[in-house]
Amino acid sequence: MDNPLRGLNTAGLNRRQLLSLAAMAAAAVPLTACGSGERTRQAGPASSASGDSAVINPDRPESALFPYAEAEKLFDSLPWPKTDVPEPTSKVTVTVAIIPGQRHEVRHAQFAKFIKKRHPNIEIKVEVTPFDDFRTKYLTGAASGVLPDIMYSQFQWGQSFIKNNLYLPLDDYIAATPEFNRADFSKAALSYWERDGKLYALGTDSAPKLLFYNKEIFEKAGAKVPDASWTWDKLMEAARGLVSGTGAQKVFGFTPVPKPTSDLTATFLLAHGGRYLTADETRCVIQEPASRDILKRWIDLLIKDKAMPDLAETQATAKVEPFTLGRGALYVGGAWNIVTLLTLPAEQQFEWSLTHVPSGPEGRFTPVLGSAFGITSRTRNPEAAWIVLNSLRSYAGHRFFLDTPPSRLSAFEENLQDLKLDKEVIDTTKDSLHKYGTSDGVLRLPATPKLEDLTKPIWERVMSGSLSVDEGLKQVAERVTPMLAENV
Amino acid sequence: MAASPLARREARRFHLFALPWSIGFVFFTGGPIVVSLVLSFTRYELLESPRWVGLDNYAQLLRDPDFWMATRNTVYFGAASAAAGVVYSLAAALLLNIKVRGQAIFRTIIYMPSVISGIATALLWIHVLHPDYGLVNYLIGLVGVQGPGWLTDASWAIPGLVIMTTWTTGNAMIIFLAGLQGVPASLYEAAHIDGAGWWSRFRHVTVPMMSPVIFFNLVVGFIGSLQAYQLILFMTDGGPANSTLVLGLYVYRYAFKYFEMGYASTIAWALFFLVIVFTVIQFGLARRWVHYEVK
Repeated sequence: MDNPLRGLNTAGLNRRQLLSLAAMAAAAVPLTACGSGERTRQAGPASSASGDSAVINPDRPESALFPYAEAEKLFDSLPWPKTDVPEPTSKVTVTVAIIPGQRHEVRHAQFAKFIKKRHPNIEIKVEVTPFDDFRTKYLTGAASGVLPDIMYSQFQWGQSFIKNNLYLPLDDYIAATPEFNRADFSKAALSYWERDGKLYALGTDSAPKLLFYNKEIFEKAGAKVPDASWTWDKLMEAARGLVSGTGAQKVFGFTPVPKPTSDLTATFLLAHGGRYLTADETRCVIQEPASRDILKRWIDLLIKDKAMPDLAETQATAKVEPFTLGRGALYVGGAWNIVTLLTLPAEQQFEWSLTHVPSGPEGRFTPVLGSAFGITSRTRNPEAAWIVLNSLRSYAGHRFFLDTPPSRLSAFEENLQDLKLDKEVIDTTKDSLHKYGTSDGVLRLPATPKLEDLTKPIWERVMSGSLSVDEGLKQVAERVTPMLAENV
Repeated sequence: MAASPLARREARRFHLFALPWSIGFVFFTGGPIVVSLVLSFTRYELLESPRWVGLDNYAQLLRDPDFWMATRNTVYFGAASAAAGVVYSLAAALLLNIKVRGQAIFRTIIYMPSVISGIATALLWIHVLHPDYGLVNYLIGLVGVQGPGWLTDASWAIPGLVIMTTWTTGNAMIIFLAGLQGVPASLYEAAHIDGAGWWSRFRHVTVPMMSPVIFFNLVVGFIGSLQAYQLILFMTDGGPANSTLVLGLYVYRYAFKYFEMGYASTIAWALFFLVIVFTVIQFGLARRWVHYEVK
């Protein structure tokens, strides 16, 4: 798309620029969390730290992006929800635990201030914890009986939080809120926070993955940009032809390298009839022919064609997606990256656009990932917490927080339109979510972190060429299957 | 014989003044040590009560291939970084002990890496050691040698980390500097009169006189290196291919990533055992080379 903030092409970064950019981006990592697997730490559905670095004044919270007066006007204009759950009769404080990101922190501070107009007895206290420390902090807190009233959750943590009784089921509160429209959330968005027929959290965002491409690299190579007709075969062929340069100037044909992480199945395997684990996550099937064959082709693209970042390159840019640096021609990434790309500093802007992820012999699939907020089981004010959560995650809440794309389908188009995106981009994102977005195969059970750590060294040996794909997949299956018992 | 009133009063005051430390030790050091020992015999997943499993965790540890790999890596990294740290900081201290103009500035510069935050250090060194455009390989390339894949090649990852940790051994350097300034000048003068050159003076005066300090830095550096995990977590997260997975990092993973506190405690006690073994070995070897002026 033609980016209104377009600046210089970063494909020609010199070493100094690259180092400083990588360092800056790495420093911003804790501010931009979520996503999936290897790349979860760089940017996420529920956060975007870029572009807005205001100091928050609690009496008048605002930033350049979210001026106070405008925020108040927007808040007042939105249709905030009602519930039959009774208002507190005396002052109560509801603590909301969030991950950092100036955009969100400012918005939460504004929300906390404005909500008092509607609920004078409710005081909101916002706790901000870096993404990488969040789970550790609150699980440790839970062990000693201390939790906030409302707590953030990334899609991979949801089932573990629910299994360990950290979240209250919301069904009774939803029943006491006649206007609550559960169908306004997509199935995939809810799936991470449902267990035994009960719902435990409400989504902030629900983002499909899309195929992003750097228009400048395509133009320079004289190649045709991708469109909805592309297959994965076509993408691999194009990626081979778009590699150029060396070292810090190297431009990769495609990122990221497929790895045995949480969304491997939905992003790379389903389209070819393969899976990482069986649907019930009791057995590893990654070594079976459908998965093996396509992964072999990806490893060939990495080792023989050098069209993707190798281990050294992956490490050097571990916290920054090369596409964001202008060093990737094609990139499959979450829709949350739209905000990241739009808010890149002017000197790092480049022309980009996006389209549907390619299709394979079995069809087209994209993982739908997101984050949510739930009421914790330790809350002393569950009713006040519901009033806050219901507002936070209502249509009005999604509009106020500008979640991209929002979990509430009713806010979907408006939120994307606010970013002044082309209609085609909005339609592609919407279609991806509705027509072929899935949470099938996305790992979410408690053993996932250990499983990823166990398979990482094996896959690194495959990526470096010191282990064959067949042997690597055999070892992955041997190590993963016994561990899946820990999910029970 | 009964203690005098003065002795009793002094004893009371001693206990009173030592009380804050004693309380701190019991609650923040001694208590957790005991608790972790007990937990090492349990299955404890943080949100559920610990369940006694006897020696199961220890049996699992012996069967765990990643534990053995982590142990090998820990010993390799600990020995290499302690040795390199001692050599580098002694060399730096010798240079900084020379009376030249602006020496205070040089001392500050050499010490500065020790006060830079760990994450900043790690970020810097990820780029300094980058195989394609890192400073280290650039310098090696100037003499026509192709540098290895520091941190990205399983064979070179630990040497890469050793280079980085050596850079931050400013505290050891300060101790060496203090030690060097305590070597009597008369010994150097006597050696000089006897015709000893720079190398002979270093070998026959400096090293023996500094051997207790070298020993101290070696033991402390080795223990510190055996427990290292924070920079490794940030720089390589144990990779590539588990080549930098050390026991400290393995404890961290089980405790704060998988929340298996029982097994994490077991690994921590294995690490403690390793530290004890290597410290005892070093004390045993020290008798052969450490020279104390007064016995």
